Amino acid sequence: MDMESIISFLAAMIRTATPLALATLACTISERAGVINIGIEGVMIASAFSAAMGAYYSGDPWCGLIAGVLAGILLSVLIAVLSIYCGGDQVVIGIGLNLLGPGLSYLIMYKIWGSRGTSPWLPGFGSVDIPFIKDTPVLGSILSGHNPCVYLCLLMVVVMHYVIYHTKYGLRVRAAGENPSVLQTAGVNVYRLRTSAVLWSGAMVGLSGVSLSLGQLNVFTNGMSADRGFLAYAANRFGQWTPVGSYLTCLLFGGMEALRMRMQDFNVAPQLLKMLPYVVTLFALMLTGRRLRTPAADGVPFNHPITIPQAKGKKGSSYPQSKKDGKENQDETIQG
Amino acid sequence: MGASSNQTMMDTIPVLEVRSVTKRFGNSVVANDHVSFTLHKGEVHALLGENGAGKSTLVKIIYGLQQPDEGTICMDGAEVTLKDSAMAIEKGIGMVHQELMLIPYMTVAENVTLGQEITKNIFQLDHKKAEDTIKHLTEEYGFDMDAGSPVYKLPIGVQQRVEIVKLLYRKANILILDEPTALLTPQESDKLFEIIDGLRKQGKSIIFITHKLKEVYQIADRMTVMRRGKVVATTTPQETDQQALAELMVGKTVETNKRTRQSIHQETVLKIEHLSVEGNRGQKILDAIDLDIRRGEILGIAGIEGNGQTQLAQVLIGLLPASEGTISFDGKDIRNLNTKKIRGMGVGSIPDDRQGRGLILPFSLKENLILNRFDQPPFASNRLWEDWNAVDINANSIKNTFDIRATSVDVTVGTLSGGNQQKIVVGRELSVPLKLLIASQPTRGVDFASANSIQQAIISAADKGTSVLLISSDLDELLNTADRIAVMLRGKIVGELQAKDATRESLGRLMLGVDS
Repeated sequence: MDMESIISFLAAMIRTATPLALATLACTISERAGVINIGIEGVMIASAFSAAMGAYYSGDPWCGLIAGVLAGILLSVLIAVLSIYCGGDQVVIGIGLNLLGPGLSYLIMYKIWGSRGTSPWLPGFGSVDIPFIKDTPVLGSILSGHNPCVYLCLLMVVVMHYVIYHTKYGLRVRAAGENPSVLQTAGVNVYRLRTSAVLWSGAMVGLSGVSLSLGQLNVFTNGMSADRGFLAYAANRFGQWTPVGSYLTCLLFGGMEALRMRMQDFNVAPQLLKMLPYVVTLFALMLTGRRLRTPAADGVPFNHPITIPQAKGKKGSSYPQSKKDGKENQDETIQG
Repeated sequence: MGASSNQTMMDTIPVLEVRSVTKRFGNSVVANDHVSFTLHKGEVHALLGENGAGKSTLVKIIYGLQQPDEGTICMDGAEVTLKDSAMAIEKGIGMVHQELMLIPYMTVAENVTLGQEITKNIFQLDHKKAEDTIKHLTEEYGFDMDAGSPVYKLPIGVQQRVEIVKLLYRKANILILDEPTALLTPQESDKLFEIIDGLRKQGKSIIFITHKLKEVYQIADRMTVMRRGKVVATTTPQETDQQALAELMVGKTVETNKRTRQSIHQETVLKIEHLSVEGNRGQKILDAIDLDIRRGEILGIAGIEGNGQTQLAQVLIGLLPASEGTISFDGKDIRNLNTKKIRGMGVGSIPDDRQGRGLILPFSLKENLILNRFDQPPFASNRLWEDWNAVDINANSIKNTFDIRATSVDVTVGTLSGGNQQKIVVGRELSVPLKLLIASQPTRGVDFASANSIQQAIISAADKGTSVLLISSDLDELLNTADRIAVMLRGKIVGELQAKDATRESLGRLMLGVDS
């Protein structure tokens, strides 16, 4: 491979990684706060569709972006209310959203555009150059000339890393994901904190949807998220619940995708190539799976006041659960 | 103010005064019945009572986690309403919970400052300043810790100190310690008492919840005893001796276990030789254990939790495969047989995780009482049906023998108190004649009277010829109940003593690996 094709490969890697990376970052922030968002796939489709509508009717992709992000946030309100305030099963809620998002989108699309598969052509973002970097020899061709979602994504990696590890809010988010009761006793409202994280996560999924319909193809099609919402869930784990790790993982997956597109020129069965990113994911998860350390209260609903998550399978994080034993509910239970 | 009227009045206004507080749950349960309680500046006030006596409820009300139905709380003479723990913290009330409220993967500094973070501006954390602040704070009270270290790397005693630092950082003047010594070794407890003493001298007031009587005499200035939701006495250690205090707590004379042991038989029932168990990374969890128990003997295993005791019990009952060594029971090798076969040979087991392994919480009392032999006569006389009549008879008889307090045998076990739950496990295991009983932490988290009756049951089983392996972190229990005591440390047996020659100190030294 010559220099030029390597450069174009790297550029394609960053571009294809973006929708997945945004969805993965969404996963990271909500799971860090202890809420498993398995409905990303559905929200992503709904956001992509909202973005398409916004851009189509206003003629401006930025209006589309706002519409997409809003859709992401609105659907996350649903997650927040059901899972955080009502203590619902986060997996069930996620599955509900995965059915709701596409269903609603396809229905509305058929009503307004009369199409069952594809939207009309949309005013997309097109590519934008970054002033100084564009003129740098190699770096310019890799980093510059992408659609704005790519830059937004890179910006969010930095912002999220900073927020999680270097701000007051981030410390509290991490605490909410590890042991919400601790946060509660420290006088912080866990519900509000988790809600904020879920809404932020929703905005990120929204962006991811926007990058699908307005960033790359300038059209909305059925099933265009192509299971990225589920892959995001895995990528987040592979990235060890860190923004930077998540992004690097997505670059790896993006690279597989870019490689697949390059290899179509060779005589390899396309079905096999299409499997590539997923096979890599499986192996990657198999290799890292044992060393993963999930936030201890990931996916565990929080009930006020001071309820220790009675979750099973918490043996991995043996402290402090192991010490609790029967002592917890003795003083509250009714003595017959 | 009823209950506190006869105490010696101090001239100062109490920092905290609970006046005739009542708290009900549902219609029938009165957790706190006109409870009054005072706390003075610079005082360590012990709060005593069995499980279910209402201590926790009282403390939760003081800490703002629950609201009283009646009554008031005053601080420095002024009435206050504590709507939540945030308000209590603001008023200078802090609490160290029984299970430590720390996040293991965060640093000491992060844990301490969480909720009241030290920031450069409104947003940005200042890690260095936070660590410095904690260093100053700990030096001021005469103990030190590495503020930058992740909490999970610290020993449990130090972790508990982190909790205390958390309160001091929040400028708490009233510290509530909920059974702080439950997880500590004797040496660590002594260190804790030193720290409490230091806090007292600095003018802090401490509410110390416990059901270990000895500790009260070590540290408390005054004590309040609760029973069935009421305050039965507020007194001082000088006025009341241990026996009288125990009587106040349980409402009747509790006989301390005096062993009237018949002679132990000569024949060896269980012989463990060179037993090893490996963890999943190849580390030795049990390392060449040699033990033997004779018929009718109670062999105690002492040790700080997490030194292989749980695994020893599991390997004996067939839940964990052994990598080396032999376990010969009654002359037969039972190593790596399955649990059902081992139980069938006359082995019973009281697991330390009673809610996880000992009981099925959503099941009823009578169902839980036949878990060890639901497939045998008289319950399963044919292959298809359980004989529920026999189940009822069995349940009622165990319920009466072990004084399990439940309205009927159909009550869901999950709704019963910890003491009653444990009696169910013990009652079930001892309902069949056993050659060997493996009892892990049989009285942990169980109130005084229940613990006593459980120990009696174990002793009387031993008198009838059952050999007992008693694993416990309660040294008094071992000293009072066992015939011989072996000490485990890092998967090894590091010492063995006759119970009559052993003392808390000698065991404590072995448990910590200190050379005497």
